[in-house]
Amino acid sequence: MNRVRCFLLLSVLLASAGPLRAEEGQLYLEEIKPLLRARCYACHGVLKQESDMRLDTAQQMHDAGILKSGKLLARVTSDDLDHRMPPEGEPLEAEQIASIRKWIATGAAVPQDEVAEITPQDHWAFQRIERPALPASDLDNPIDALLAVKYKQQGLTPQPTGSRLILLRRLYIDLIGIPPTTAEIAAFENDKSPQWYQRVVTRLLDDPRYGERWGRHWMDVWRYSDWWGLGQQLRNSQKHIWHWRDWIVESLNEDMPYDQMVRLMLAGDELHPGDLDKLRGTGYLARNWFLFNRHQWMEETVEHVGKAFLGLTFNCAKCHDHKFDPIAQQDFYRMRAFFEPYHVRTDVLPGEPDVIRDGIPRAFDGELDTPTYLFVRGNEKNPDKSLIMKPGVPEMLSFKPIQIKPVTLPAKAWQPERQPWVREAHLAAAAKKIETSQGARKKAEDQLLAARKTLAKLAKDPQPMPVKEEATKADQFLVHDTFQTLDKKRWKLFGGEWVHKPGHVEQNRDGAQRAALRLQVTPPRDFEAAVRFTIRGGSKWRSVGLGFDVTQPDPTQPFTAADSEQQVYASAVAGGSKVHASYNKTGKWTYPAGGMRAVPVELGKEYTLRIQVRGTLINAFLNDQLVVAWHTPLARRDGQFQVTTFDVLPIFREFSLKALDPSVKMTEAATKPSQQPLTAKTAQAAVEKAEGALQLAEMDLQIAQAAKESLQKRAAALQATWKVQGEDLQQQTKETAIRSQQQLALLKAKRTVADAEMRLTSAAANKKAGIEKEVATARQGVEAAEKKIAAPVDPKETITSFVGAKWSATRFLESRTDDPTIAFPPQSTGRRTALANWITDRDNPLAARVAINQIWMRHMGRPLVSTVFDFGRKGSRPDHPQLLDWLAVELMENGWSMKHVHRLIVTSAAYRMSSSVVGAETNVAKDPENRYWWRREPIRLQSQVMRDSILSLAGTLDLTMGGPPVLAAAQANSRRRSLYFFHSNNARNLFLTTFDEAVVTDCYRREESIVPQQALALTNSTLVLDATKQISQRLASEAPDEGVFIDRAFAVLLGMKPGEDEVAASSRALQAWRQLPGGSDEQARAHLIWTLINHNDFVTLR
Amino acid sequence: MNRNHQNRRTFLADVGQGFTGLALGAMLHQEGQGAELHGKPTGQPHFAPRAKSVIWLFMNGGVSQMESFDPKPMLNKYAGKTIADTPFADTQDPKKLALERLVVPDANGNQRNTLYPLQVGYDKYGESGIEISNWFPHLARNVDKLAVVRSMWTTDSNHGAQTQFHSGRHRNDGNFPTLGAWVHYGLGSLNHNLPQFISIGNREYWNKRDGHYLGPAHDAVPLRVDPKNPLVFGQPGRPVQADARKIGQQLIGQLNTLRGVEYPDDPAMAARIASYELAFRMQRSVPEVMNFSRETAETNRLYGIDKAPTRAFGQQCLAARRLVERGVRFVQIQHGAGGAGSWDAHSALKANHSKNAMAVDQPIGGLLEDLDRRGLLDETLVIFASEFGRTPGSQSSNGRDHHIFGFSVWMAGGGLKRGVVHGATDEIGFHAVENRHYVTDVHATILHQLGLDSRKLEIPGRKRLDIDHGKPIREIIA
Repeated sequence: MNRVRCFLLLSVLLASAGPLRAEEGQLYLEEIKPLLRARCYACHGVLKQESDMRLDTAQQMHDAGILKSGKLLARVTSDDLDHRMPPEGEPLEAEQIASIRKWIATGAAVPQDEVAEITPQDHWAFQRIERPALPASDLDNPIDALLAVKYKQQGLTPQPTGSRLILLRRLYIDLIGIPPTTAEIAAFENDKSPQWYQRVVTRLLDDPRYGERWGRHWMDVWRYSDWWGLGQQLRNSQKHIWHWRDWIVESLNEDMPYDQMVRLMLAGDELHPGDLDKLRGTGYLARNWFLFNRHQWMEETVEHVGKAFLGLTFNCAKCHDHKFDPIAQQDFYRMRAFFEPYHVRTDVLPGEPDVIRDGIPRAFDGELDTPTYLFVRGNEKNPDKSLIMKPGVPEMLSFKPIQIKPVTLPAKAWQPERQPWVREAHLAAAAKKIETSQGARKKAEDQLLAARKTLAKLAKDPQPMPVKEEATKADQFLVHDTFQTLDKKRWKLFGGEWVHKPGHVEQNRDGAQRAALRLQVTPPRDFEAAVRFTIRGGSKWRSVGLGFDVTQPDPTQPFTAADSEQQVYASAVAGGSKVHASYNKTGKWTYPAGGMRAVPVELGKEYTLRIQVRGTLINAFLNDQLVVAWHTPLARRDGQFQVTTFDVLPIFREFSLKALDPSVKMTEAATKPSQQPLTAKTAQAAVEKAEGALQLAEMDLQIAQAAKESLQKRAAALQATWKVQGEDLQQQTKETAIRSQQQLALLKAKRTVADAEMRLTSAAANKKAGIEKEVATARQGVEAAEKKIAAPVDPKETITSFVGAKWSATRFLESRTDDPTIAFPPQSTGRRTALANWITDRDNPLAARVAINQIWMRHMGRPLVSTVFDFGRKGSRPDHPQLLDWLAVELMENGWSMKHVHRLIVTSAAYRMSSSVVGAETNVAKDPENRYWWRREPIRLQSQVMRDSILSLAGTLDLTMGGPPVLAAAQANSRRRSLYFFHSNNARNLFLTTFDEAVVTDCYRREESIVPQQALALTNSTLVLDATKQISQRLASEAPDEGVFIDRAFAVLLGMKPGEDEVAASSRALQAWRQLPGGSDEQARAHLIWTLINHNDFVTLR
Repeated sequence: MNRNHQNRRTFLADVGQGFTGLALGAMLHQEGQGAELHGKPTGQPHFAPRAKSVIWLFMNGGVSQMESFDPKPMLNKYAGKTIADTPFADTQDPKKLALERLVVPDANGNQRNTLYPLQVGYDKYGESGIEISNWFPHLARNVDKLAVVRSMWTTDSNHGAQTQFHSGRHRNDGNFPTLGAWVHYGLGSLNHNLPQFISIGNREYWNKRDGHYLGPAHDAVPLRVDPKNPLVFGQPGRPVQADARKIGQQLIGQLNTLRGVEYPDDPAMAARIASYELAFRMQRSVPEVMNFSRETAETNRLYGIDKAPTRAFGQQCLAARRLVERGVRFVQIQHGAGGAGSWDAHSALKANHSKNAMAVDQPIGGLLEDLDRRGLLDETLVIFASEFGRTPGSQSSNGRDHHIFGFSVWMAGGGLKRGVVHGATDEIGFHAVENRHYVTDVHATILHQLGLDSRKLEIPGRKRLDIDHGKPIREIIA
C-alpha cells in the first residue's frame, strides 16, 4: 500500500469517526486493540489483508461490516476449527471475547485520532541511511551536538566530566580490557597538556590489546565457539577454529574496515581463494558446521546472519510469513539458498600436514547444484519440490538487483595440494617419520641386547622351576573339596543364588553384587589356596576371588570402618581381564596397580587361581603361571577365608587350602613382574620377541624412507602435470612416481606378513587358525605387489596426490554414516559474495545501523536500539534516530573504520560524563531512565575483564597473543587472557561462567546478573586469594606509607580517590587485621586488597 | 516523584528485558527493600497455589516402562515373536511412528521388533491396587500416594531427550529454559539463606544449564552431599582466618555504603550488597543442610543411608527433604552417571534395572514416607521421570532400546490425587493410546499446582509455541 492511499484512508477514517465515550474507548484501546494486534494484525493489517480485511482500526472494522453484523464474534467463537479465528494457536479466552462483545454492544466507538498501522516501507529502519544535518552548535563533537538538541528540548543539563581517575579506568577497560597501573595513572595525572585525553585514546587504540578486548565483543555477536561434541566426537563448530579468533583480533588491530570483515567472513573463499590469512575469516561460517542435521545448520546460519548483520529475525519466517516484518516464508528459504552450496573443510598449513593437529577451518562451495526447497510449515520432512528457491532478499529490501556471478577458482584453491607448503609439510613430516623410525629401531636394538643378556644369565644360573604341586597327598591339605557334596559344616553361603550339583557348585545371580562361600575353617597365617572354576557369564566385572583376613560377619553387607579384607581375584571383564590383588581398609577397597596383571580370562574356560601368602608377600598363579608377585600394604590380621563372586556366574569344581611349606621359595615382589623373564624358556621367548620387534622396526624405517622417496617422486610428477610440461616428461615422471608407490606398497605388504607371522608364533592355540589365514592373505598381498612391479605400468594407474585439505564430513539424517566425500569444485557459485555485497552496500539500510548500535552499547553501557538483533517492526524504536544515522553514515563514509567511530564516541563529552546523579535532581525527575544520555551509564565488567583485571593488577597476566585455546585442565594455572580459554557450549570456565560468560549459541547482548555465587567466587576463588597478596605486595613496594597505600589501592582497583570516611574505615580495618594473632602489615594490606576486589565498584565501570 | 523510586525503575526497565539478576530482584522484594522494585514477574503466584516446592527425580538413561510402572503380560505371551507376527502389527504403522525427530543417527534409537519378555514380576499393591514391578518394593508400599501417568510421549529418540524433558523443546530447536528455571523465574525465593533452585547428582553433556534466555541467574545451583564442601566456591580456596574475614566483610559493607554518597540509591549497588549478605549466609546455611548428624538412625534407615547400595541416593533424597523443609523451591536430583545415563540398558536390562532400581527404590520410598509424616507431602510435588521409556522389543538379546512413543512417569503430593493411574499404552507398551501427554503437560501440571500461568511469564521477543506451555493433567489433580 502506498503512502497516498494510506493517507486517503486515514482521511476517511477521521471524517467518519464518531464521538468516543471514555469508558468504551478505554476498553478498546487497552484491551481489545492489543489483543487484535497480537492475534489478528499479521493477517488483517498492513502486512496482509486476508479476505480484504483490516482490523488495525475500529473504523476499518466498521467499514468491513464485521462488528454489528456479528461476524467478528461469530468467527472468534466458532467451534469449527476450519472457521475459527485466529486459525493458529489457542482460541481467544472467554474474558477476551466478553470484552469484544461488550465493546460492540456499546456501539464500538471509534477513537478520534486512531491511526492505521504504518506500512513497512515507512518503518524507520528500512529507510536508506541519510546523514542528518547537524544542528548549529559550538560543540566540537557531533555526538554532543546532536544530544544537546534533546537536552534543550527536555530541559536537561548534562552531568559534568568525571574525574581523571575515573576516565582513565573507563578508557583502559573499555578499549583494552584491563585497568591502568599505578605508573600509568601517575603518568597521565601528571600530564598537564590539554591533549592528555587524546593521547590516552590514541595510545590505547594503537595497543594490540585493543584487538583482544573488542575481538571478544565481536566474538559474542558472531557466536565464536570452540568445537564441541560427545566425548571426542566432533559434532559442532570446528577444531582449530581459533584461527578465526586470531583473524578477528588481528583485523581489528589493523582497523580492517567493518564491511570488509563482513565480506571476508561470508565470502572470503570467493574473494581471496588463495590467501590462507584471509580465508581464516570464513571461520564465521565454519563455526556453524554441524555433523548431523544440515537443515539445522542452514537455519542457524540464516537466523544469525540476519540477527548479527541486519538486525532482522528471519528465523520467524521459517514456518510461516513473518508476523511483523515484510519477510515472506519464501524469503527465509531464498536466504538459505545463498548458503545451500557451502560446506566446510580444513586446509593444510605450512609445517603441519595433519589437519587433525592444525589447519585452517574454512568455507567453500561444495554442492553447487543442490536445490533449496521451501519446507511446508517449516517441517523438513515436507519440502515443496514444485519450486526451487533461488537466492534472493526480501522484496522490500531489494534496493538493487542481487548480482550473482559464479567465481572460477584458481587451481590452488580447489586443488590445495598444489600449494607449495603442502608438499613441503608432507616432505618434512616424512623426514620426521624417518627420524622417529630410526629412534624406534635403536630402541628395539637395545631391548634385544638386554633380552639376550638376561637369557645368557639365566642359562648359566638356572632358576628353580616354579613350585609344582609337590604336596599332593590329601593329608597335607587342611581342606580339599571337589564338591561331590556341599558340606554346610565346611561352607557357609552368603548372598547370590547358590546351586550345588554333584562335582560342582554354581552361583546364579547376575548383577553387581557380592556373594561368598565362607570357609568355616580358619587358615594359618601363611597359606596356599587354590580354586578351580569356570566363568559362564556375568554383566560386567565377572570376578571370582579368594578373600582372606576377612573381618566382616556378612560379606554382602556394606563394610564398616572397622572392617578389612585382603583379596586376590580373577576378572573376566570385557576388554580388561586380569588377576588383581586388592584390599579393603576401613571399609574402602583399593586396587593398586602393582597388584594387577592383565591376563586373558575367558568365558567358558577352566582356570585354577592359586595363591601363596607369606606375611605380606602374595604370589598368585593362574593355571600355574605366576602372574602377581606383590606385597600388600595392609597389615595382616586374623580373619576368615572365603571364595567370593562379584557380578559373575561361575562354576566352582575344586578348592584346596593348606599351610604354606616354609621351604617353598616365593618370588619377591617386583615392580613389573610381567616384564621379568623368570626361566630360560621365558627369557628365550623374550629374545625371540625382541628379535621380531627389531625386524619390524627395521621394516618401518625402510617404509619411512621409501615413503619419503615416493613423496618426492609423486611431487615431481604432480608438479609436471600442473605445469603441463612436455607429454613425454609427464609420462616419465609419472611412471617413476607410480613405481615408487608400488615399491612402497610392497614394503608395507611385507611388513604385514612379518607382523602376522610373529603373532602366529606366540598365539594361543585357538587363535592360530585365524592368524594363519591372515598370514596367507598378507602373502598374497606381497605376491600381487611383486607382480605389479614386474609388469609394465598400467596406463590407467594414477598417482596418489597429497592431502591439501580435508572436508568436514556431514552425516545426513537417515544415513547413520558419514556422507560420501565431496570433491572440491573448480567453481564457486558467487552467491555468498553477492549476499555480502548486498549487506555491505551503501544503500543497505540496516548493516551500518546494526553495527553502530553494537559499538555504542559496548562503549556507553546501553544500546540506542534496545532490541539489538531486531530492528524490525516488533523491535524497539531508537530514542535518538538522528544520532544513530549520523554515526552510521560516519562509519560508512570513513571507509567503515571502527577505530574512527571508537575515537568519535570516546572523545565525546557524553562518554566522559560522570555517572553520578548527585546534583542532578531535576534531570532525574524528568528523565529517570537516562534515555537522553544526560549522564554516563555504569557498566558491569564482563567476565573476561574481571579475570584479566585481577591478573593484570597482580602483575601476572601473560600477554602472549593468539594460538590454540587454553584447555580446561590447564586453565586453573594459566595466566593468559581469558579470551584464549577454550570456550564452547559444553566446556566453559567456572569462574567466567559465574559472571555471565557469553552463551555461544546466541549472545547479542551479555547478561548482567547479580547473584550470590558471584560474591562467593570473588571472596573464595584461588584466583582472587592468590592475586590479593601479589597486588598488595606490588603496591606496598611502591608505597610503603599506609596512607599512600590506601590511596593507590583505591585508585587502581576502583578508579577513585577515597574520601575521608573511606580512608578512616580502611585504616581502622588495617589496624584490626594487624592486631589479630599472627597479624602483620603485609597480611593486613592483602586483606584490604581482598576487600576492595569485593567492592561493588571493582566490578563496575563507573 | 523521588529519586529512589526512579532509580529503581531504571533497574526495572532492564529487569523487564531479562538482562539483570531477577532472582535478586525477588529477594530484595522479600526483604522489604524494594516493595516497588518488581516489574514482572512479581514473585507471587498468579492464582492460589496447591504446592510450594518441587522435588524432581530424574533417572538418566531411560527407565523401561514395562519393568517399572506399566505391566504388559502380552510381552510374555508373544516373547520372541516379531511384532508383525502378533496382533499388534499396527503399532508399526509409519504414520504412528512419524513423531520421531532424529538428532543423532546412531546404532541406538532404532525400532526393535522382536518382543522381549518382562524381566521382572508384578503385583498389585495398596488399596488402589496399582500394579508395580517387584523391583520397586518400597515404592509399592507407597503406591497409594502416587499418581502414575502411563501415557507419556516425546520426540527425541536419543538422550538429548533429557534436555527435552527438562525444557519441553527438542534439541534441534535450540536452547530453552528448563522447568526449574521457569519456576525460579516466576516465584523466586521462600528462604533467603539458600539458593532456590538446586541441582544434585549427575548432570551430563545434555543438560548442564537451565536459564538460557532467562539468564544464568536462573541456572540451578549445583550442590554436593558433602557438608565440608557442598557448594562451588563455597569455601576459601586458600586457608583464611575467620576473624580476618569478618573484618573484611564488615568493611565491604561499610565502603559500599559510603560509595552511596556519590551514587545514592544505586539499585545495582543495593543488589550487590544483598547478594553478599546472602552469599555469607549461604556459606553457613548450605553446609548445615548437608550435615545430617542430627537425623535419627531411624531416618537414616528409612532412606537406606545405612546400606551401601542405597546410601548415595538416600543421602540425596534426604538432602532434598531438608532443602524443601527450609523452603527451597525446586530441587532437581539426577540419578545415574555417564553421558547416556546409567539406566540406559541396551543390554543386560535385568542386571541394569534391578541394580538401579535397588539404588533408588528405598530412598524414594523413604522420601515419600518422610515427607508425608512431616506434613510436607501436601505442599511438595515429587516427580519421578526419565527421558523416555524402552522398546518392547529386545536389543542385543537381553536389552531394550530407547523408546519415545509411550512411557511412564509418576507424580506425588502437592495437591494431586493419591493412588491413581492415568492414561495407558497399548497392550505391548508401545504407543501411548489413552490420554496421551507430551512432556510439557508434566510441566503445566507442576506450574498449575504452584499457582503459575506459564503464558504470563512470557519474555518479549521469545515466543513460545502452544506445545511449550502444555496442558495441566486435570484428571490427576485433586
